[in-house]
Amino acid sequence: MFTRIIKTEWRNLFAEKSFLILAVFFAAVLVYGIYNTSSWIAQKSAENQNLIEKQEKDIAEKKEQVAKGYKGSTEPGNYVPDPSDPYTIGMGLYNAVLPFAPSAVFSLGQSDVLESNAGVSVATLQRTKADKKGFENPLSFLAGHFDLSFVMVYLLPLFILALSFNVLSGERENGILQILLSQPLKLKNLLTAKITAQFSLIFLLVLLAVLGGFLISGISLSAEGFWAKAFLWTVVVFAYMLFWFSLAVFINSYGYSSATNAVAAAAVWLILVLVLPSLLNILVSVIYPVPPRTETISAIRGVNLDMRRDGKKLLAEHYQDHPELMPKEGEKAFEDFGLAFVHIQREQKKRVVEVEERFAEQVANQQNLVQKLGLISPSVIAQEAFNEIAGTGLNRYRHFRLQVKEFDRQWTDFFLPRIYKMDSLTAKDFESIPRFEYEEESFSTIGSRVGIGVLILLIMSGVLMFLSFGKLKNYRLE
Amino acid sequence: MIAKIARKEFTEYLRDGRFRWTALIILALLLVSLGLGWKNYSDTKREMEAARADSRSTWENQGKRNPHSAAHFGVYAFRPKTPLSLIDSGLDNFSGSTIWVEAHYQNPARNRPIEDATALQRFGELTAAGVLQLLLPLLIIFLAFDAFAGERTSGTLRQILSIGVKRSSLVFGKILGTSSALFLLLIPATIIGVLALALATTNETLLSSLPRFLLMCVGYLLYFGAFIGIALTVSAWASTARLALIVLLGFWVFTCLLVPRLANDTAERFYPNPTAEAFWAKYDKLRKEGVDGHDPSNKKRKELEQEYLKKYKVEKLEDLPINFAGIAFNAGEEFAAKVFDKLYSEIWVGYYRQENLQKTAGVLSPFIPIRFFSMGMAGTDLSHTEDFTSEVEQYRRKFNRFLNLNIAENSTTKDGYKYFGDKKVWQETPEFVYQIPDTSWALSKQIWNLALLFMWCFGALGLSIFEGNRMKVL
Repeated sequence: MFTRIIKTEWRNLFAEKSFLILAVFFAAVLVYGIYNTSSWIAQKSAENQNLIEKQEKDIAEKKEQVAKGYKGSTEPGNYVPDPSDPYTIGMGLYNAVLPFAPSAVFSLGQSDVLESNAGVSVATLQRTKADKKGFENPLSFLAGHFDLSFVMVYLLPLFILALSFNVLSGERENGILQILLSQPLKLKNLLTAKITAQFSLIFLLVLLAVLGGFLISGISLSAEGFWAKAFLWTVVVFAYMLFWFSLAVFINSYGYSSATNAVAAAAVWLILVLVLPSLLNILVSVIYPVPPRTETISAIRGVNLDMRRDGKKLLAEHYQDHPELMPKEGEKAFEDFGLAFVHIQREQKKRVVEVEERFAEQVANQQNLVQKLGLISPSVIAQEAFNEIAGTGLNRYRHFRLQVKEFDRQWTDFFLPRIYKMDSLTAKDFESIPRFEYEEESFSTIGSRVGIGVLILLIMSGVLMFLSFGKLKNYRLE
Repeated sequence: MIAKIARKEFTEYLRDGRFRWTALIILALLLVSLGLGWKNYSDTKREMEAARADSRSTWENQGKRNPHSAAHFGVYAFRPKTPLSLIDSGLDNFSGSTIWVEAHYQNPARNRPIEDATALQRFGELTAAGVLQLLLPLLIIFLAFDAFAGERTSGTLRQILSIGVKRSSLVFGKILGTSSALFLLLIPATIIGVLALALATTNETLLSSLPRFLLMCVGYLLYFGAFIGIALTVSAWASTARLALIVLLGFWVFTCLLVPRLANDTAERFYPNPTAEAFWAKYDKLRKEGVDGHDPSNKKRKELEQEYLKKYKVEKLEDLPINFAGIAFNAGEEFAAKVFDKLYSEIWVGYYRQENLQKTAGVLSPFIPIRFFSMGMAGTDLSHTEDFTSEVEQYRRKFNRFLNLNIAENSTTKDGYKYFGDKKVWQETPEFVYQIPDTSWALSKQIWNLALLFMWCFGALGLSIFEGNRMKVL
């Protein structure tokens, strides 16, 4: 009986024009979402790749010049810095780049806002072009992107509800319900069978459309770790779909008319997907307010040192503390503007880093809270899980920033002593200039973060189903 | 007759629990968002004031320094929040709020609040504008979807028309009834909005914000009018209330969710956002080769030297009665200004191309024109952002000119960098003051959006009358 109802339900759905239109529309939207996401990622990755290549080419060129003994040019208007001076590269800007994960196509997440390259320098970033960024159109952040996670988080529930809001009420209004139940069939089983039929169809549709989208967009499916992430994504989608179907069952169990069910379903969708997350956002930023950004500015400006005015004194103090760094020419270093400048930059950097860390800590606190509080909203769970799987959320970004911090230390350790000693770089030194390489988080870390959300979704669905089945006992058939 | 129908609709809505509850929830959300907007506005205003004062006092008390070193130290320009941003924060979260004003470089605005937020922010910030643009149309849909379809199913439509009520009176009555139910919600909301504004601002700023506020209200009324018209049209056209509801919800999803994102992505694809790397690479190239390809800066400098030597009839720069470094810096700034003008105008052209493409999509969705119009009135849109950045740049040029000429006039070339400015110089340095452009300027940027809103509103209401006249009674 159960399988027969499922088959009938499938046949009915395929016979219904409105379902076919919706299904085709939804599949098209999914494919577009994937295509859009992947082309965006391709563009950003190419930009990152360019940056890395340019950077490597620049270092290689300088190495060659040093090997040839080129010392730069001091002619006014045509100044070229001495490539063998450790100051030239060290105080300049090195970009540590966060590559996209192969699974990035599952969600654009925060990757448009969080900069994928982080500036590293002996100096403060204010001195480098890392602080002269932000040329994106602010308007392009406002509406959000049409990516795969948007389709899954916002539109999939609507599709599900459009299909199932009248799963019982519709049958009752057509008078079919009475006929069906005159057979040896329980209402509970009828409902379960119908939902199973709808669920399996949509689930299959999603998987096929996504696979099609991948093939059309030319995403490399053989990349390392892609299928494990894809599996995790499928699990999240399964749990998220289950929640919305359970909700539809729950709404139907009250026994109202189809029109009332439709209004109720739309209202619940609205509250869960649009209203609740923005209320949570308020709560999170009230509990952990991020200090005003103006504080970073005050921190930099608080270091009121001037190389021409204070340079000599600063350097004398510095070499007294670090005699091992005293250059061979000795006293000459006290008169060096460049060195005084380096010293002031180091002072400023110390202050800026302190303030930056307070910001990072507060945002980290917020993110941790989001991971906990977000568990009350299915759409937040899904969005966070998709970002996590795609590697476009705050957690992977934090992981990246920690590595950059460590790398910044390596970079400084390489250049700063050489700058203070007024050493020259040899061609051989160039070979040991540190380079940044991002190390991925382990699958189990990501899996455990995603797993909690999935568990909560399953529990929510279970509770809704349980409550609905209780109510069904009193369901009026006319 | 129209009044009677309107009164009947209105009474029915009031008795309907669905309306009462939805209206209460929306009113509560409006209250919360206005409260938050108010807090955000006053906090930011205080922080900005403090930071501005701090920045200026650091500048004035920086001690003895060469004015060019001081120019490198620079000052910061802070973008003040507009009072109406408490209703519509628009691009405030995405555009930088501070610009570093320094020698040689025109810097982009930095410190976008979105960079310090979690992914929750992307679900949308709760603002009064968001509630009015996204949720109120849904309330209208819930109110009006069965206006005709429901009466048709229950048979009352036949009765009403059989006693000789004109179809157009019926439609007008429904429009009036729905609008008055809506006003029941909007009037207290407006009063609270004005109160929040009054609390947050001084009398003077309140007065200057009122015209913008009123225009904003007009925009929203047109927007709601459009949704009332569309809801009634669909209700008259659809055979059942259920079908009407599904079509209307589909329209809402299309208008408020799909079109904005599609328009945004398409705009970005056609006119990609510039990258910082490309920008500065171009800058380096232009500096080296000259803006028009045959006028590099080092050649300019040599010409300038000759010009001054001739002017003061001396042989060497060291013999000049002024400090040539100041003159050279100033010339350098003037040259860089040309480079920046070219580069930044390219950037803004790109931004506006994106915006225009999105604005065109307003033909498909009334949500788009109201969003742009509302931001425009609130002073949080793209053109206000541009106005701020260009004012800062004008200031930066004044600032550098003042400091460079100070070097030239108060020392000689022989002094080199050994000339130091003192507190008096820093106090005399011009200060940045920003005034938000007036209402007519803001309105002039919104003609297209306003026209679209009119078109949507009267087009939809007209359509509802048309559809009402030809709808099936049975």
